[in-house]
Amino acid sequence: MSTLSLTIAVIVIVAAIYFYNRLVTLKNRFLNGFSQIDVQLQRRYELIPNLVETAKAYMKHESDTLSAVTEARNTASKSCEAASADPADAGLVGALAAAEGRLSNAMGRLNLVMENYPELKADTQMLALQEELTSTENRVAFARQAYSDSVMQYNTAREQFPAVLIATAFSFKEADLFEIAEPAMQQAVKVSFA
Amino acid sequence: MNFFDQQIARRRQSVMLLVCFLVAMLFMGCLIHVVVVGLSMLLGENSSLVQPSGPALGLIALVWLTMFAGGFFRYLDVRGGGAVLARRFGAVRASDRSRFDREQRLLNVVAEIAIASSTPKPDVFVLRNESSINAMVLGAEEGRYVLVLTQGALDAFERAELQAVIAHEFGHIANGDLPLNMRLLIALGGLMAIDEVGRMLIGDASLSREEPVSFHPGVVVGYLLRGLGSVGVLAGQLIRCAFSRQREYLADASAVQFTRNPIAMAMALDVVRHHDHEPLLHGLHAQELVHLCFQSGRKPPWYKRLFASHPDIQLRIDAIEPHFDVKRRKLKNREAQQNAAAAEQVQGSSIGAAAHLVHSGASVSPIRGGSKRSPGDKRVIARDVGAGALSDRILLLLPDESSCLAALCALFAHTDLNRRQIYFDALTKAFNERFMLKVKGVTELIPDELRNDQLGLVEHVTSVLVSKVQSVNRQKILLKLENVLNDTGECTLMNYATLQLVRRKLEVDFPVLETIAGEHAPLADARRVKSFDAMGSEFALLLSLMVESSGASPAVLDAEFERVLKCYTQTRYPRRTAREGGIIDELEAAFQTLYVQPKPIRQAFVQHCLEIVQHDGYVARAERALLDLFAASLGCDDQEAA
Repeated sequence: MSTLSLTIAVIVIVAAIYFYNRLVTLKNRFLNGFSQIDVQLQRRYELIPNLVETAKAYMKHESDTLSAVTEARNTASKSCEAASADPADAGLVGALAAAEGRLSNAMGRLNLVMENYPELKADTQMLALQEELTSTENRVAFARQAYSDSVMQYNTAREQFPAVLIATAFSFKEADLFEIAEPAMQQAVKVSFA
Repeated sequence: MNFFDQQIARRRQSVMLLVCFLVAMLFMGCLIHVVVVGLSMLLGENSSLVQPSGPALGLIALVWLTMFAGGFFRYLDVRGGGAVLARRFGAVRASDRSRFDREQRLLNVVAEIAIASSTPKPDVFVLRNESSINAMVLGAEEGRYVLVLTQGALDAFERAELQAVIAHEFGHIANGDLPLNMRLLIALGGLMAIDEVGRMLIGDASLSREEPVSFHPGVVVGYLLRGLGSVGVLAGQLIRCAFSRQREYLADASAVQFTRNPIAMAMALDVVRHHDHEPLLHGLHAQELVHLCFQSGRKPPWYKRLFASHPDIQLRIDAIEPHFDVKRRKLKNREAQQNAAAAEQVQGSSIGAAAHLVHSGASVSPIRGGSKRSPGDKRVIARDVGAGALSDRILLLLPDESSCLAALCALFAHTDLNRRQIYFDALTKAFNERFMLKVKGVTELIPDELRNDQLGLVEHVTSVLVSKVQSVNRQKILLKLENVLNDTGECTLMNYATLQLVRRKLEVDFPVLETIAGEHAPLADARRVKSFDAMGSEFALLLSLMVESSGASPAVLDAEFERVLKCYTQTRYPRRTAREGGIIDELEAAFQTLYVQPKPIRQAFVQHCLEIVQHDGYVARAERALLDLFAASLGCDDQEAA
């Protein structure tokens, strides 16, 4: 009888350790996912000045467009720093989203203007920069997607039986899916990260 | 089924297979035990299943030892990191210098997918001398993976496709396929070692003895080991291959999860499918690596499919994107439109059409250009005149081959209700009632498209049928349809032209001369080669039909007909019209006559027809259909096919 109860106790303890460790792994994974978004945004801000410099050599008459891009980039970079210092502040995140939206607009205009400069489009340095920029934008999108995926995994693992017992006992809280309550802000976030 | 569900299903199947593998190994153990003990009992030793005799116990121990030793050696072989393995195959580390801009792109894509899959970035290697398309991950331990891509893959894939392929490889990493695969490989190594030791024992024993047939104990044990080993290896291989196929599906599903772009994945697989005449890898180690690769080459014959490491590509495409053919077409149409629009914006509307054509991949001058053109021009005209983008309705309403077949038959349904009913009755007789009802349904479903967008419809329907239906069956279907049309008297010129167009698009050969000549006695004469001048009536017939298809008034037609006929003969023939009875038979005969002429003559004629069509600067749909018919019937459409 005592062997039986001992076996059961061991099984329960092993299972508890397994589920606890699993939850910790998943939690760390989604936290890491969140930081990746931030890293990639910064990478993008660093690339844009290079792009503008290269473009300047070819498009002398489009200084308005170029300075608009630089300006938008600087604002976005600043609000990104502010937001990453305190990610919980919805106001700062909203400001970042708006700045990102303006930057996207300016970049879109730049791309449109660049259509008129075939030599610029064929420039090898420009091509490399374009590739880097595309890649970075993909990374931002993927980072966000990986974040939602890992949050979903974590939440599912947390709510399933018997992990839910461990989760409540050790207060593993439900993670948010990167959504902002206010509709206007939600829209802005879409622009910035999509 | 979305990719999350798919992943769950594939994982469950993998677990089942792993259990199977363990059971098989256990069974092997029991089998060894039983066989060895049985043998020792036969030899008259005092032995039982529970308490084997000394020699039997020794033998069993020997077998197990061999197995573990074999596994251990295999482990030593694969233990080294992936980089060592990759270098052994001649791969070099991918460079991010701008000279290798494709490799820079590759590194970027790898970084992207590493983020998407939340896995550490593996080292990236490229097989720069390998022109085949493939990719693989190597390495057995976490954190020491290496991703290897062939130069062929770098060159063949677009960015999105490359992303999908890389994501597939990341799928293998994220799902832990490599350690699992290595463990299976080690277990198999053990089983193979038994076989190998058995072979050595037989070889040694037969060398040391003079008699040809021997029952030396060593030989008996050798055969025993070989028998056990081969059964084990066979079972192990079967399970490992089935497992590997499941893991491929799983990696595909994971790739879609990482990129959220099933179409790109399907496109990448499609690219691979179109290169399947190339070997899997030109290098020597292809066989060893096949389980780790992105693809395993061409479709194996049915008896080898159980031992295939990868599922058939079509099955993989269907699993991730069931409506791939339809969606790809939509995507291409949209792209073509966007490009045309962009080109027009940049270069002004007057040469927009030309830019569109250039983009379409046809390297020809604009239509209104010079008079010298190759027959390949037809395709360009076809693009221009054709309905352009297919309506989404058709793509959605006719996704599979059966509905496409019904649509094909619906093309010939007459607008007059009585005649339509006769046609449907004939269809019931030729096929069956259910099919007829389906055709009827399609006729009512897309009446506008059937009337106004026949060419687009034919294009879509035939492309689906070509990819889904075997060539023999396509031929049978066409023959049946042709008979139905003949029996109901629906074989008008336009229907005939459409049918020939369909025949060519379906890549079915033009009917053999004998089959036609056998049925219609007068046509038998047509096979005789006539002198160029003696074929005046045939030319007159074809030319008058060609001229008539432009749809101008009779007076204009007469003048035009006279103008073009002068190029061929001095004799004045009356202009014929499509409304005459028996014109189809005559047309058939004319084709047979012209078909046996030297090819340059036929080509010149088709080219002339092309010029006639373009003469008035406008290409009507009927003209284009007829031109296609002429080219197909005279065997001059091979340039276009190329």
